[in-house]
Amino acid sequence: MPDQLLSLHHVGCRYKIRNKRFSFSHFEALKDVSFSIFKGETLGIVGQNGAGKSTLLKLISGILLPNRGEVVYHRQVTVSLLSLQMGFSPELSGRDNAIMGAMLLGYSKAEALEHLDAIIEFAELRERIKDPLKTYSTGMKARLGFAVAMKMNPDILLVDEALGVGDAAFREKSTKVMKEKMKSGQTVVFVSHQDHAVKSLCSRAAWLDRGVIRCIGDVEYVLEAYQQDMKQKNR
Amino acid sequence: MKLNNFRELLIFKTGANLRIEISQYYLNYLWWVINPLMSMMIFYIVFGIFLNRGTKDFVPFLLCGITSWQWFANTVNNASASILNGKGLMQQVDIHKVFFPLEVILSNSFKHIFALTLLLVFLVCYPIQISIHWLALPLLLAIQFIINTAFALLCAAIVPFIPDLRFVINTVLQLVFFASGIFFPIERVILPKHRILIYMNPMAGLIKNYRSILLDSSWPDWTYLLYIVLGGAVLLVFSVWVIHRLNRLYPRIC
Repeated sequence: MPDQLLSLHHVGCRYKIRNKRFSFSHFEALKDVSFSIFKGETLGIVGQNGAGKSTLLKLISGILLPNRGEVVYHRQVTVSLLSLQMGFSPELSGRDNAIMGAMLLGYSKAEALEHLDAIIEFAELRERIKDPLKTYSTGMKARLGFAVAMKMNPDILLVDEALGVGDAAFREKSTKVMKEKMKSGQTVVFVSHQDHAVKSLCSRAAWLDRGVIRCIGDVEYVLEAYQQDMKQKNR
Repeated sequence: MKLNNFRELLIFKTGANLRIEISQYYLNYLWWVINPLMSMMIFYIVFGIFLNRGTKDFVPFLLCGITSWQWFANTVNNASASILNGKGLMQQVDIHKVFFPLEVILSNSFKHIFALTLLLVFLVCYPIQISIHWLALPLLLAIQFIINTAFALLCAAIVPFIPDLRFVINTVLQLVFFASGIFFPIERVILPKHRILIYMNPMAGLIKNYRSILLDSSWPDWTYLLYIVLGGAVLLVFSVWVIHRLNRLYPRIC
């Protein structure tokens, strides 16, 4: 029996939408989702826009509580959600943003400062690091976010569409670092639209469709089923 | 997030935000002094010159009140939308939501240091006799800090659910401003039977006590202070409890 870190049992999550004044409607982002995350695996999650992927990551990371069902932590685990604009405030310098980002992900200030040089080095920002973030290009911001998150070692790392950032050279570099992290036993849950990224990185895959898991298991099999369905819809 | 990290982050972010806020302006840090100075000037011109009815030492009386009031009102007003404004960040990290109002409270308290220093400089130059009773000032400031925090957290906790309350809070603050005896002595203006009601408002009592120690060379009303400190502490615990209970709900409703 592999080592379970966390399980979801019949988890549902809905958002309240106010139409006008006092009338409300609900949107069910997740309806009924159950699965487990095992130690050391890389679980890829595929699905169309609005399938509930981001909501799922927020539930796993504890940012949201489910309306139905439960998220069970089998032991004390730290979970971090890697999203690319982590705590970024446009007026602050890249340096301050990097420190703040690392602290938001759970580092103390001393630890954040200790890793700061490595983060700046990895993000390839050099002297621009002193400028306010609002002067950065989209790619530069994304690189900084990625660099901060890659310095973290949570028990479960959640990655939301992060590998498509920067230019080709940076993309290659970030994919390589990601792979190294996964090889060294990092547990990762990985959301992506890019099939080839899921195929090359993940050890297991799940297909999320309008709030339910359509299938989960072998990467090839799941991607095949997902693509078949997409083709049918497009026809 | 560990408590220690939380505290470090809070201080770092507050400091960084203060720096940004001020870097937008040509006069930079000077605004921390000029801003309270200007509002003091307005009150001086209106009440000290035009509406001066010959009351002795009216200007120090007035400035004592307005300085402490503005600390309270700005804190509560700015903090009330703080959790709502933190929606971007709270969607990305599991951060305790009490972080957002605390940030506002800290930065307003920092700015108050400048206003307070100005007030003390003014009092010394006026001149008001410095007395041993000034030693009670840190105590009064600490009590006001508790009261500011309690009300600010309470407002911040509720506003995300009913955003409309922001307008109500604004109006209530205006009402309380007129009822706190900022530009009139409560003892002389308000009927004795209404005074107890007026002093239910901790700001009215605090302002009166600030004046006692700074202007009238007397010790504060210890029993009254004890009451409002207890009341403030109970409200503070309640507000923190509310935010703590709703902590995970805010990301979904904001």
